[in-house]
Amino acid sequence: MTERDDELLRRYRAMPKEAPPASLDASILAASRRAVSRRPASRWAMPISIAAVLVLALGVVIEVQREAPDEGGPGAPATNVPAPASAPAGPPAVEGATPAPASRPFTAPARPAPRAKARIDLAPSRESARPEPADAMTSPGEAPSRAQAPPAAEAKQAPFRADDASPSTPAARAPAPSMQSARVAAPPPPAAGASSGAARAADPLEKELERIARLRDEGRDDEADTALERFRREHPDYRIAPPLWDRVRRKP
Amino acid sequence: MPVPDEELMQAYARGDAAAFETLYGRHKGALFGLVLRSVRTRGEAEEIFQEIWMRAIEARARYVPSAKFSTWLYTIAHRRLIDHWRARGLTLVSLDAQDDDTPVLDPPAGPSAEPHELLVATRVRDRLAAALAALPVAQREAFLLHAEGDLTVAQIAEATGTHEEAAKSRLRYALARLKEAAADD
Repeated sequence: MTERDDELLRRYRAMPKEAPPASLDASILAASRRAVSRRPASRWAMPISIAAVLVLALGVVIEVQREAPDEGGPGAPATNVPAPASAPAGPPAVEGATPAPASRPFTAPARPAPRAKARIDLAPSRESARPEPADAMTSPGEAPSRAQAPPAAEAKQAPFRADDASPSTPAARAPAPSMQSARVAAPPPPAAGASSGAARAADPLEKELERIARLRDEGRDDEADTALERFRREHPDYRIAPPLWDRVRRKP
Repeated sequence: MPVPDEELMQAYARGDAAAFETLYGRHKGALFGLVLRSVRTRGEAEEIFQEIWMRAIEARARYVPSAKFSTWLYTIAHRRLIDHWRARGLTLVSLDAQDDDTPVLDPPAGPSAEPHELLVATRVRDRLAAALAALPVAQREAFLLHAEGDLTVAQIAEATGTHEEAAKSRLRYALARLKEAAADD
């Protein structure tokens, strides 16, 4: 830059300066404020939403894990099958501790909704991922058919096993009161109404109940009580058809 | 000591609206002068001036403090002016012209053509303004970036997307033409 250049710049800068109108200033500054005032909402909305979902999911997982050890544990009383008078199990937690009338042989579990949800979530994985124990109520030859039964097939057993519905179904998500009412209002299991796949899936359990019924018929009530109690522990949500229940329960 | 422009822009990107107001106050006069002397009418200048700032606002998150704020701002201005010239049918050949023989396509009249300006302007200033308006686009832009934005040759090259030699040449030719116009006083 020479002195002449500097002189030129001095003269240029001495020229009258134009400025944007005040309205244009106000418009631009308002836009600048709007741009940053919107920002916190768009910046935090998504992280907060994700955090809320994670907290809820974590809460559900913790609740499920907290409830899981109760499943099948000693003295676990939750069951839909009314306990016979001579059953050695712990104190009945169900409203039907005594045998119910034949027209309503099953009672809803008197446990809170989360427990019901936990059972729904855990039962399929237990059945499919873990082989049946040697003393399980189902015979080893029958277990694979149950384990291989697709979830949809189990869901079709709704008249028999309302709690076996997939967790994603609305029925499975319903709170305990509605499950109870659904269970009470459920019609007796149709003999031929269920699909063949569902009937096949239910066979092992029905066979076990038939075995208990035969023990009753043979007068081996103690063995029948033990088997029935074990059945209740293994399948607390299984709904026994009224005619079959009349055969397996201890006669007064 | 005033807060550097770069820090203000970063503060604005973090949500500090007051930082932008300070930046705007520092640069609005120079930028408006550059735009006003680069287009035909004041209306066009105001429209382009506003769009440049809006682009800066929208691009606040992408601002990298390694670049000088004024260079970044005038880069935005340069691109917007190119869009304007293209829309008006002015070829960009004149942007790359290196010598002062390049014809000017319909040079902008500038504020000196307005009556109230003529009343207060001296003859030298009139000639200077006229000479500036008559400069080829690239040379005028180089001069305005230097005189209004206080950009160095290197920064002019960066803002206009050219190499330093071309920027230096454009500025040299512009200064020579303007000195010639002012020397007749």
